[in-house]
Amino acid sequence: MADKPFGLMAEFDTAQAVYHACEKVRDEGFTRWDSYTPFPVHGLDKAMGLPRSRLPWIVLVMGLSGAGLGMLLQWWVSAVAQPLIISGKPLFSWQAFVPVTFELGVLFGAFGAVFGMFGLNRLPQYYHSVFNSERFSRVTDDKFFIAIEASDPKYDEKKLKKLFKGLGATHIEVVED
Amino acid sequence: MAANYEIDPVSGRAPLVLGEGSFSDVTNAVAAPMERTDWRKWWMAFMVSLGMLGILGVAVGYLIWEGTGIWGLNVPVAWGWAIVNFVFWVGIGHAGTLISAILFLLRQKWRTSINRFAEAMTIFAVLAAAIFPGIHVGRIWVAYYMFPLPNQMDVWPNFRSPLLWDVFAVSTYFTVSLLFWYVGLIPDLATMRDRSVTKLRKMVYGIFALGWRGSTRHWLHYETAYLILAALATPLVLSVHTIVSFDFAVSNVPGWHTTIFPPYFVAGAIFSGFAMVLTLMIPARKIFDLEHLVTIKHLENMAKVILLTGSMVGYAYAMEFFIAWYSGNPYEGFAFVNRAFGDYAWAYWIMVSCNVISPQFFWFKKLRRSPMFLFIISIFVNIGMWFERFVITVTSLHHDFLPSSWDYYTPTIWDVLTFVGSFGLFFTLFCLFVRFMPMVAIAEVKTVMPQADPHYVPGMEKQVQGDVLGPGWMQRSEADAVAAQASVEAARDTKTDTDSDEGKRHG
Amino acid sequence: MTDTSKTPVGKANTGYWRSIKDYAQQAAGRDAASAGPDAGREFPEGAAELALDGVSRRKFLGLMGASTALAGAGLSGCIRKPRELVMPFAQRPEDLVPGRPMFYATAFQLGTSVQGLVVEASDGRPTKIEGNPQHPHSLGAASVFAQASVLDLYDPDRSQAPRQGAGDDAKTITWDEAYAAFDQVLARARAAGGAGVAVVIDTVMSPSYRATLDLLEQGMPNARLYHSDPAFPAARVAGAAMAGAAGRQALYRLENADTILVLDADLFGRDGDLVRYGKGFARGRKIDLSPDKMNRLYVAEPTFTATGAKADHRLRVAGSDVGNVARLVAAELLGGGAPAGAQGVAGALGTPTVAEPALAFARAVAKDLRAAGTRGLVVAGDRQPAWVHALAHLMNQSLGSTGTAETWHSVTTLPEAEDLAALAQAIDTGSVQTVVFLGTNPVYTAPGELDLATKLGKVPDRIHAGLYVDETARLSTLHLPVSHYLESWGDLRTVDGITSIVQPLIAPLYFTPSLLEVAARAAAGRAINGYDLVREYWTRRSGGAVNDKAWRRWLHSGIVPADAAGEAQGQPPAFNWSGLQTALAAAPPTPSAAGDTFELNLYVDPTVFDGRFANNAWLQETPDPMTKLTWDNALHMHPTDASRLGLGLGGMVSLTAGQRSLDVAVFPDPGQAPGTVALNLGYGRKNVGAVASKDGEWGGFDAYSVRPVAAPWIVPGVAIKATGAEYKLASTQDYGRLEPAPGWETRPIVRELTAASYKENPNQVDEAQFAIIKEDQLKSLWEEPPYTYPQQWGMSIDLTACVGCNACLVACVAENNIPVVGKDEVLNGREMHWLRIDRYYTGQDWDNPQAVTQPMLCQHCENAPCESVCPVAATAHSPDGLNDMAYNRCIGTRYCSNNCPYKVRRFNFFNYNLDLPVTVQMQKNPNVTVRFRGVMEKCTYCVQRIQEAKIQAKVAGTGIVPDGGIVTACQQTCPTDAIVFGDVADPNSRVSKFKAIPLDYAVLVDLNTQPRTSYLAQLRNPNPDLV
Repeated sequence: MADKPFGLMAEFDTAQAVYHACEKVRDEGFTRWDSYTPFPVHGLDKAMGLPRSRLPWIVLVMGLSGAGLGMLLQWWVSAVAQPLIISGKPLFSWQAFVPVTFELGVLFGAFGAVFGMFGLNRLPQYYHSVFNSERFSRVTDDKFFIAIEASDPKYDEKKLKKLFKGLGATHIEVVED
Repeated sequence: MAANYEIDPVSGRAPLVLGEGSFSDVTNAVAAPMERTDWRKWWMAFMVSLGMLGILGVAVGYLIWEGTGIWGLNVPVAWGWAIVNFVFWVGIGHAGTLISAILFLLRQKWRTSINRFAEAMTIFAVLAAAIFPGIHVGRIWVAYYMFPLPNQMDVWPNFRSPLLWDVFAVSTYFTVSLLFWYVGLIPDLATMRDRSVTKLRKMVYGIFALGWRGSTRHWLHYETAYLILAALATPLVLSVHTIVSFDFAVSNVPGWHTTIFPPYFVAGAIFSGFAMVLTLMIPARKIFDLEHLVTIKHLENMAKVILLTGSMVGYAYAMEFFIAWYSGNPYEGFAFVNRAFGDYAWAYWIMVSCNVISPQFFWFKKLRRSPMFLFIISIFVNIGMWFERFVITVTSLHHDFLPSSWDYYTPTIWDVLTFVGSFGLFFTLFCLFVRFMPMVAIAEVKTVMPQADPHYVPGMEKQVQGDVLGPGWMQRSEADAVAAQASVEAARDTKTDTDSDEGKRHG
Repeated sequence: MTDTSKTPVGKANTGYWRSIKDYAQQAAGRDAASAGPDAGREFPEGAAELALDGVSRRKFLGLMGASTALAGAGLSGCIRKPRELVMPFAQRPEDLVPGRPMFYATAFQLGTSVQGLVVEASDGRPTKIEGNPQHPHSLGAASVFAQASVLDLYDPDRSQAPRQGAGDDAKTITWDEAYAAFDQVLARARAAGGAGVAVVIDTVMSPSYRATLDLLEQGMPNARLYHSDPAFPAARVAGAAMAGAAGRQALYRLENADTILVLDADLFGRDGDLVRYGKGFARGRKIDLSPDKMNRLYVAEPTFTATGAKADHRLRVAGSDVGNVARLVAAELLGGGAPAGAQGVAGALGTPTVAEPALAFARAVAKDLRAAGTRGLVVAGDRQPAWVHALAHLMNQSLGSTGTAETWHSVTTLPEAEDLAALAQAIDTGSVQTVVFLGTNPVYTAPGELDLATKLGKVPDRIHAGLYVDETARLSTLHLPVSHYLESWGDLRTVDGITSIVQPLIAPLYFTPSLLEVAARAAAGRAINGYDLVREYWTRRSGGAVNDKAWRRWLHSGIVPADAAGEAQGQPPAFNWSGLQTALAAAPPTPSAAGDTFELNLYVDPTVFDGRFANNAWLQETPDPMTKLTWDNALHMHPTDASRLGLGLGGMVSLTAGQRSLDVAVFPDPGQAPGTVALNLGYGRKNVGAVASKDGEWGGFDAYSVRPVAAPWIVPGVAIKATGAEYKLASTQDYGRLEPAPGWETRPIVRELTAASYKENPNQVDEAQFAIIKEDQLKSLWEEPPYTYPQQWGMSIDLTACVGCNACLVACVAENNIPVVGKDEVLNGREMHWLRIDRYYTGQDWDNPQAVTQPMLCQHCENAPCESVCPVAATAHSPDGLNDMAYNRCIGTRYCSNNCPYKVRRFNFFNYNLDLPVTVQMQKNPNVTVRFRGVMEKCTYCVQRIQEAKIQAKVAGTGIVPDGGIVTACQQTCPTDAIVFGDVADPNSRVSKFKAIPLDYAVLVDLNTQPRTSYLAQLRNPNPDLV
């Protein structure tokens, strides 16, 4: 694949610049591209026209199943597996089982949130082409990047270079795959 | 260093980051402590902590060898320092998640400079706490009976017991706090990865950074996840100390059997937690030159939380006595009179003076803004909150229903050493933290800088120069601030001069 | 196994060491203590190996066979010479099923009192002692002393091999050498006709032993017999003589009296006869036995005793004033016409100067006694002088209760013997060449001023036979260990002539002869087997007509029918009051002691008695019935006196009586008469064993050292001054009142009311019970699950009957393998007793309170607070309503203990059973788990007995245990039958009937714990004239 590059990467100095650049790229109708920032820039996802995250649904399902399993476990243990008379309380004294139910709901929900996020983000991912750029290491400090992949149907290196220049990119390079 | 402007043009409030705020300044400031070359002071601190940790090892080893008898316990006082320390540490472990989660949900941007620090403290405190339920049992080697593990005896735990609720609550709390902390760390670990010069550092940070590359598509899910974690952690943090308080409230011991315990314990936990954050933060920000990130404003806000929760705790103390009297239950009545005037009155009054009286100084802005004074008071609060747990646990037990079984409890040297040792564990972990982890959330701090706003226009601060806020600005409501920000943005978008209505707003 | 032989035994079975270091020091300490070539060894050469051998399996089975054969000789019908019957278990002895305990009747002596016992043997090891239901002096109950005596059998500190040479040059020798030396000395003595021979004997209640002693005296006409028993009721005997009834003794039968005046006698706490007294007293006291009429008890005493606590009216007077009270009462009684021959006495009484309230008390008592007539009884305490006894007899005669409530008996077993003062004198005059101590320890028990320890040096041959290498043995030239009574054949006869055969339950652990055999050897110069002695004696006694069948019946029932003893009992003697009259005249009423000196009252101890049980760990840890002190005695002193001397609990004082003085710790006791102090005998022993004492740590203070010969019990003019030193006293109860603090209302834990007010309103207990929460408001928030088993166990405890004598406590310890924790742990508040007896001071006058006792054990709550808080479900309810405890599930969070409102749960903070001596292990009840470190334990209602009964019921087919089929250990041994256990689901069961009595109440009922154990409120029957 050495002949075919990964794509074109533009570097910006300010959040404002990258924000407006994204809006432009979005309006140009590119699909296989992404922007990279040191911190979550407010509203940049809208500027890129990204859909809302599906994560909340994952967490909801996980949380509910955690709570459900919790109550089920306690019912089974106290009323089925080991029906002991404890302090003259009913075998299934659900009031006493609320705390554990709640905790398990939260625990599973949290797992859902974290590992769901990893899943959606395909993390961990120790290799990615953008790392091939020398300058890209400053993305975790103070620089902002937009990379458009060569595989994008509308990918055209010359046109893009012009476009980025117009958007105030401070540096433009072709990133190897 | 002097601020380049008095107020943050975006939020319309005092700036959260002082100094010539460029993004890499922040990165450098936070990374500096980890990249310094002179570690002699650090080694000294670390060795001392390690020594204390060793004491813990010895104390626990002897405990396992000899039995719980080496402590001062007896019947009726079958719970002593171990439980006191447990509740003490768990309480401290609350500020972290509270600052991170609740303040995050409340859009309290000032949290960003201190939440990493506080979360670390939470995790270490919960670890220190978690030792005690484990070792205080008589047969440590079968403590695993508390987990619902299938076993050849086909016996199961009793889910009606508050202690079992504890097991689930504390372990869940620890896990979630750890996840929350780690998720927050990922972008900063990436930062450290990209700054690292040595191969080893690069590799280790790299592994934990999971290949983070700041992609906006990632930030999208990331922020959702963070928000959800905060939303989950908030009820969790409240539930944990509620459940810890159930250990007492659910029993029938006079002085324990009280419905006020859950809110009172939660308030107490936040109280002690913030105190501990101050105790650790005030020296740290000085040592590591982070005064421009952790500003007086941050400290002052924490002081206010302490004042509030301290007063809540004081109210709870008073209410306990009222209810004890109002219930007409002679056993309850005696339990509380015995607290204030019985064998352990000394402990009770130490508690009251440290927890109720000392925070009242924070009504004065001057004291609120003096780091030295804050530090001293925070120490008092820590002491007071330990004594609160001692008073609740021991004085209630030592005189309960049947006078025939009453006794006096005195700790042994092993009780003390175990407690000292738990501090060893806490500080050891902390030393490692300040050396290898960014103790301020780099990425998050950047988001609260004005130039982080995609609509920020250099020089716009001049527009809001007009309304340098009076001393009253702290008290302004959240809504106010939001309105402020909205109108600032409006002003910016329609590039018209908005001095007039700005003026109206603050007039 | 050799290391066990080196184990510092005291440490092991009391477990008061904390670390290996500590352990080593203890061992070192003991080594230093044990002198001679054995220094450094727990057991002398050879003996250790024996001791171990004693539990090696082969030997053990041997013992087992032997014991079965010996003990069961009657039962199993094998009448062969026992020593030939040590057989391997391969041939199982008839009637012996492994694992099934067997019960044998025997008897136990303490001073002049004798109890018939039934002893449980588990696989050949005596493990538990019960009273013999057919024996009139025990009626199925056993005293605290009898209960604990089984532990002495296994005491590793028992003397296990003969010793020769006194003091430091003592060395252990073989039995052959020992017997040779013994025979040689006695042969010489016999040759000399006993000239210069002194034989020091204990109180003899055994006919065959007495006969053997007679034989001895026949062999040595010039030998002199001396009597050494510090607790012997000399005054009682003298009093009888003074009343003209020499050689006879009075026996008080409380069951035949309605109004009882006790003059300074602790009938229920210390007296060897406490079981008989308890049974008799309860007969007229308990509402189920005497619903319409309740007896009334007056007590006049200087210190607070269990009897005083039980009294309807307790008069707190100096010991020397008790006599004056007697005079006043007598004056009132005799004023209305004295019996024939006693007219003169009334005149001789004089007019004692006694302050109120004694005067009012005396008048009221006299009035009450007269009203009671033949059912009135005056009991004189053994501490009081002879004339008080005589006066009591006279009063009883004038009341007409002689022959019913006071019966008279001639005691044929007591030989003529002189006292120890005479011995000391004889030694001084150099007329003693040989002294033989038969089971006596005068060096310790003799009054200090006799100073026998040094005097004995003048006697060339000093032979001691006893259970321990005690103070006397150490000064003897020859010491022979003897067998425990559970290892020996013998017989015992009560004062009123009820005779039992003492049969062994196990072959002697250390091949020791019984005391009887030693005496016989001394008399005959050759070994005579104890079994033969006893058997032959009774054959002779009953005119050669004891066939095997009769003999078996005797052994079986534990009683030799009266015809065998062949005496008419109980006839009143022909009194002659002239002696009393002169005595009274000779001792005119003295004004009560004044000034800054104190009156010292000496008592035998309610736990270690006269010191013979000092090395018994169970009894050392048994709290004193009133002070709740363990491991020590202390000087009782009224708080006002104490504060005047600037003393608190444990403050040391130097006490000087005559020439001798003693440093002793003070216990402020509000029941103590001001101006008097009290001290128990039996403590302060040195070098007798690891349990009895440890210097400066426990063991108490030797009251004998200050005991004068002339005034052995009540010592006037004792000077006391504080030394400023402090001593730690370990009391199991620090807070003694039902008011949590001054000004607070009394907690309704012990409920108490008068018989009169109960008659007026029988329901007042219920009404009071629901003062905090109305009964209809006391309900659970949920449906309580049903108990599936047809029978539901419950207990009722009658506080009216409970005298707080501790018998139940020790029975529980013996039955349930409860560890002894030692003084340090008691100080830490970690005593392990499943059943404790709470003592509360009551009444408005905090300086002169009444007291109540309450047995407190697991209440087996239906809504047990302990269960719901246990994270691992280690404690839960059984279908038959027991609050069960699963030791091997318990992880030891101790949460259950915190949540138990009765604080009856006990926690093993250390491994209190760590390297328990092998012999002590033999006592353990095989049906009860020995608990490990870190687990919680508590009363189980003797679940092992419940299960046993249920199994038997199932085998029988019905599956339903009949009422009374289950008897808990505490219930079984209670001298007053205060405890009833049974099926609460059956309305006709005895326990249900008890719970139906309106006096029934639950402790802390407002917590809605629904306890299965409930109490009958304490009834008192005060005299209207005195309230």
